Amino acid sequence: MNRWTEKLTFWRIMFVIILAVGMVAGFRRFYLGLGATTGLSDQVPWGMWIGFDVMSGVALAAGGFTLSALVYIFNLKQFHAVVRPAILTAFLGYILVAVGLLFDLGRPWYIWHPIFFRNPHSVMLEVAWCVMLYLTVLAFEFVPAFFERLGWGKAVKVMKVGTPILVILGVLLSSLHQSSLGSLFLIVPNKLHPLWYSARLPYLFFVSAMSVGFAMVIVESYLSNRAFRKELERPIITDLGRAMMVSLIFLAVLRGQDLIGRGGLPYMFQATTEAGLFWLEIGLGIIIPVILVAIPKIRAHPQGMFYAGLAAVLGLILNRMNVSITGMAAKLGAYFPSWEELSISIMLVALGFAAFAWAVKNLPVFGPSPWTGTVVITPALETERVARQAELQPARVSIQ
Amino acid sequence: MVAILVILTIAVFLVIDVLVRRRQLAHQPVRVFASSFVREALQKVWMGHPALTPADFRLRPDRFYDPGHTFVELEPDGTVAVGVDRFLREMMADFRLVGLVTPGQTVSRGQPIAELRSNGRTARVLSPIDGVVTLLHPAMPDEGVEPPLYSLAPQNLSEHLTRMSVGEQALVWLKGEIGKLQGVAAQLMPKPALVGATSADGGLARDPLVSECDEAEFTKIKNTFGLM
Repeated sequence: MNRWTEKLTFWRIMFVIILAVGMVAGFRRFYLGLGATTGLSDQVPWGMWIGFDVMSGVALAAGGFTLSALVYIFNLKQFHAVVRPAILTAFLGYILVAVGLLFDLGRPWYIWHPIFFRNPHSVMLEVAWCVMLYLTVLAFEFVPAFFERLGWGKAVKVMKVGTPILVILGVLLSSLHQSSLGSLFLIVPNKLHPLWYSARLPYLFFVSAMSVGFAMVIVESYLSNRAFRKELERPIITDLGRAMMVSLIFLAVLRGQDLIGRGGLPYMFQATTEAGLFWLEIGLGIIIPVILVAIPKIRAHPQGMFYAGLAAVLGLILNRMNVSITGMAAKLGAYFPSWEELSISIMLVALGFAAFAWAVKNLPVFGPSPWTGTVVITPALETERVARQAELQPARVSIQ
Repeated sequence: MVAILVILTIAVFLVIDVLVRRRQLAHQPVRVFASSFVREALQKVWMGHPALTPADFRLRPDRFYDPGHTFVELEPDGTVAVGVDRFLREMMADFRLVGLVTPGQTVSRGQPIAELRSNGRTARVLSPIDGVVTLLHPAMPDEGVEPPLYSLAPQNLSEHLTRMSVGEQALVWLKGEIGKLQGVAAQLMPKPALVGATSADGGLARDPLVSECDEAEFTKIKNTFGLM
C-alpha cells in the first residue's frame, strides 16, 4: 500500500466525488444559465442557494461575533479559547456565502454593484455592505493565526493592537446584517405564512443566530477532536452548552410571545405541511437541545453536547428554509431544487469542511492542548464513582 | 418539502458517517501493551525469574502506590503530588492524558481525576486520597520517572496511606498486578486450533502482547486494574 492509497479514506473519496459533481453542476449553471439548471422561476426567485447557503450560512457563522462580544466586550475570559475557532467558522462561512451568491445571482459579474450603485431604500444594500465589510474584518481577525504559524511575532503584536477595533466593528456589522436578513422578509406580509411572518423577524433572526453560534462551536470542537484530537476544554463546552440553552429558552419565549401577540397560535395546530415543519423546527431547534443540555449526565458528555448542538444547528437551518421557502410555497407555487442546486450546495459545505480541517491541522486554531483539560464532576459522575467504588472495594490491598 | 430535503440530506451524511465510524472502530486494533518493561517483567514472571527487583518495575521508594495505579508523593510543604504509575502508563500504550479536576476543587478518594485515552478507548483514573487540588503540573515528557499530575492539600492522609503500598510491599503488590496481567494476557492470546492455549505450555506473548481487544475485554481490563 503506497502513501497515496493509505491516505484515501472514505470521506476523502466522497469529497473528491462531491467536488467533481459540484464542478460539473457549476459549469452547467454558468454555461446554460439559471433557468436551465435550477428550479427557480420568476415566481420563485429565491431557492435553496438563498435559503440554505446564504440564510443558514450567515446564521451558522454567527459564533464569530457572539463569542468575540462575550470575550472582548463583556470580558468573559473563560471563552477566550473559543474565539479563534468561532472566527474561523465565521470567516469560512462568509466566504462560502459569497461564493454561493455568485451561483445564485443572475449576472454574478455585477456583484460589486452595491458598492457604487446604491439604493438607500433597500435592506439588501445594508446586507450587502455589512457582509462585504464583515468578511474583510473577519479576514483581519483571523490573519494573526497565519502570522503565528509563520513565526512573525511583530506582525502578531501589530494585529493585536487593532483587535479591539476589529472586534467592535465585527460585532456591529454582524449584528446589523443578521437582523437585516430577517428584515428582507418584511416586504412579503401577504406571501409568507403567518407561522413565520412577523414584524419581529429582524430580532428573531438575530437571537436565533446568536444561540446557534454557541451550538456551532460545540459541534466543531467535537468533530475536530474526533478527526485531529484537537478540542476545547470540557468546562468551556459545558459553559457554551449552558449559554446555548439560555439563549434558546429566550428565543422560545420571544417566539411564543410573538405568535400569541399576533394571533398565530391556531396555525400551529392545523393539519398543514407548514404546521408540521414548524413543529419539526421547534422540536429540533429548541426543545431537543434544551432538554439534552438540561440533563447533567448528557451535559458532562462531549457526545451528548454534540448531539444537542447538532439539533440546534439543524433547527436553525430548518427555520431559515421555512422562512425563505416553505412559508412562501403556498403563495408562490411549487419549487424543488434541481440536482445542480443540490450538488453545488453540498460542494460548498464540503469545501467549508475541507478548509476548516486544513486550518485546524496547520494553524493554531484550538491552541496548545495540554493534558490539563478539565471536566466538571457532575452528580452523575459522582453516582457512577460511588457505584464503582463499592464494586472495587474488595479488590483493594491494605498493609497487614 | 425543500426544507425536509435539506434536513434529510444532512441526516443521510450523518448516518453514513456513523456507519463509517463504526466500521473503523471495529477494525481498529487497540494496543493494550507496549513493548516495555512491563512486558519484560511479565515474561520474567512467566519464566519463574528468581530475582525480580523494584528496578524491574521502576518503583520509587519515596512513593506510595495505590491499587488504582496512582502514586502519592509527600512533599516538604505538606502537599502531596499525585500521578499515574508506570504500570498503567505502559499498559495504555500511546495514551493521551486528560485532566478532570481543576485547582481549588475538592476531590475525594475514588473520584475520577484524569482520563487516559488510547485508540478510541478511555479509562478513568481515580483519586487515591481526599484533598483540595492546589496545582496542576504542566504536561512534562515522561523520561523514566512518571511526572505528577496534580498537587493536593491532603485530607485524611494517614488513613488513605494505609491502603497504599510502599517500598518492598509495593513490589509485592506490583508483582501481584503483573500476575493479574498475565491472566488477562493469557485470555487475550491467540489460541491456535492445533495446540489450543499455549501459555500453559510456556508460550510467551509476542510484541505487541495483545494487539486487539474489544470493548468488553477492555472493560474487563479496566475492572481488573481499578479503573473506571
